[in-house]
Amino acid sequence: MPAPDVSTLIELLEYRARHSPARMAFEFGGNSVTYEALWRHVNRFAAHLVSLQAARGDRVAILMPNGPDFFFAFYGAQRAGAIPVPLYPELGPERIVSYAGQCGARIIFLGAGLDDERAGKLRQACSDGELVVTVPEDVVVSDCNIAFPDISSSDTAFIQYTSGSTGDPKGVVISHDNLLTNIRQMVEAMRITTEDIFVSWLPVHHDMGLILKTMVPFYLGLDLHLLETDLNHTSAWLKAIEAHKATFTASPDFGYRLCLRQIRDPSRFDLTSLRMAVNAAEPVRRTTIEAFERAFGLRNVVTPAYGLAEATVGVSCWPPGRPIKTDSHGNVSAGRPFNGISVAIVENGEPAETGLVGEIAVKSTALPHGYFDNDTANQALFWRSDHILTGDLGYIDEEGDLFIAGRKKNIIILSGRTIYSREVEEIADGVPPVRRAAAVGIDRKRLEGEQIYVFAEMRPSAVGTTEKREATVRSIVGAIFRQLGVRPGRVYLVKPRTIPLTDNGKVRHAHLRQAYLDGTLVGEGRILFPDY
Amino acid sequence: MSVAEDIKALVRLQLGIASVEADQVLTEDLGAVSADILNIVVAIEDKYDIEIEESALADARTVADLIGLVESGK
Repeated sequence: MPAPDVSTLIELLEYRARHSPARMAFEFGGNSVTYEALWRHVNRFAAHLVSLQAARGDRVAILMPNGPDFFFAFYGAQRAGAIPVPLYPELGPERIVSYAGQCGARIIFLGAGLDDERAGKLRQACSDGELVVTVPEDVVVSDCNIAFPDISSSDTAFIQYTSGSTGDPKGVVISHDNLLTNIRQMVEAMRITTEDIFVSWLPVHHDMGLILKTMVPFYLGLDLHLLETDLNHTSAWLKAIEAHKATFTASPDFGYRLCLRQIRDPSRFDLTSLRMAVNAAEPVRRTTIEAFERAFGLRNVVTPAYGLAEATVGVSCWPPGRPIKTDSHGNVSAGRPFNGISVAIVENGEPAETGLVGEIAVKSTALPHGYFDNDTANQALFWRSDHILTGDLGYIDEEGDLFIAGRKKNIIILSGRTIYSREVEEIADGVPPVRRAAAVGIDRKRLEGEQIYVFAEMRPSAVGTTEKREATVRSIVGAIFRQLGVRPGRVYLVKPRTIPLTDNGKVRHAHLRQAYLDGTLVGEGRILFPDY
Repeated sequence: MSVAEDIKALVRLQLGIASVEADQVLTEDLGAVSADILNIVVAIEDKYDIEIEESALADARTVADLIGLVESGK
């Protein structure tokens, strides 16, 4: 069925429910959900939100893993006139409350049976009654025939957080128009048609998994097979591609690397139905693409792309079906910007010459207005009022192809998930013996890819015995894991005044990374613990 | 300290947990995900200045398996 002429996602789902009610919207865990059922549940969740006194424009936090409930809650919030704020479902209770505070959410949706202990802790943390925690099992509605508010294309469709730092929260405010414009751009550039069959394990709470892998299928009415996010078992992904004869999938580079490690005998899988396997959301490695295609007998299928939440999601991709292009440094081209998007390379506030590396700036017909309630960050985000500065470094070659060459902003990309150094530092700083902590992303160009490395300066009185040092490292790792749901690659206790600072006391992350990688920290005896 | 004790200490640090036994399975018993296991292996390689082959890695399920990897590689 051709793409309908709609102006909001709610209008899209209503259109699909009316014109193709029995058609499958998506399949998850062997169960398919039709557009009729999707729309019915969206209305049920919306009515539930109205019963919780959700008002127009209220933020509703959603912490749900991949599965039908996520879509019911996400679109249910939109249907009720509220703004869904999808968050990483493994966040700890303190972190969830912190996010709710940042976006002013009063209602928090948790996945059913996801983790009763965590739900209990969260309910306890919210016991002042200001926050309402609800799970899909609580959603009992007798009357769904409520007059829901009209939604227009300029209304906010959702807020995508890229940083949960309490000092510098970054939640991108994305409108329905931003989404539909970017969806149409991706459909055109990636030549996606109603004949395509999508398989995805990407988390639906995050931009590429949500927009490219679920909104695009709804927009075109094509088949979507959604999987759990389980990187310990990449075989499930490959099996689903084979079973459904999928033509289109996507993953950060890490996912393809893990397949190569976990799958002993690639010949067990027939992936030849694949037309395109997008590789984006973290640095793309030429070696991964070559090894993956060789192992599974594919040619020109794994396709580099580039994007970021601050530009809705997609910015550019390499033309489907063409051999990839790499430069003399091994950087892989992310192709040309989609129609309606242009890219400038900025150096010292001015456009750089062709071929020179600078900060990538993006102008787009799908450009959001910036972050929720963070004027300082918004002022720094824009260049010449109509471009956003991405924080990524790159250049455009003579043929007009974009190459990503590095990063300016202090973020760590962990299997496609963006974590700001500052978020990790705020947590590590809260561990008592730590005087000051710095977190950087370290990529040793091996299988594990980029990882969080924490360097913690100790209070002089707390340097202590090996047992004490071990306990401190365990506390730091434990605190990061409880709050962010991930563990660092390494935590080092370092001597006082090891972390390089600017004159006004900010951590110089690039210097610290360099001093670790070139052996200076070890050579100068700055690392106290552990000894490797 | 013996290799076994060193590896247990290393796993405790990487996973941020207080107690690790040799017969425990990294994923089911200790809650490690694929990235954690890779980070443990990198830490072992750094500590002993050895290289662990990827094929050997696929069979490492328990803490004892990791100890075995080091003892056979030394």
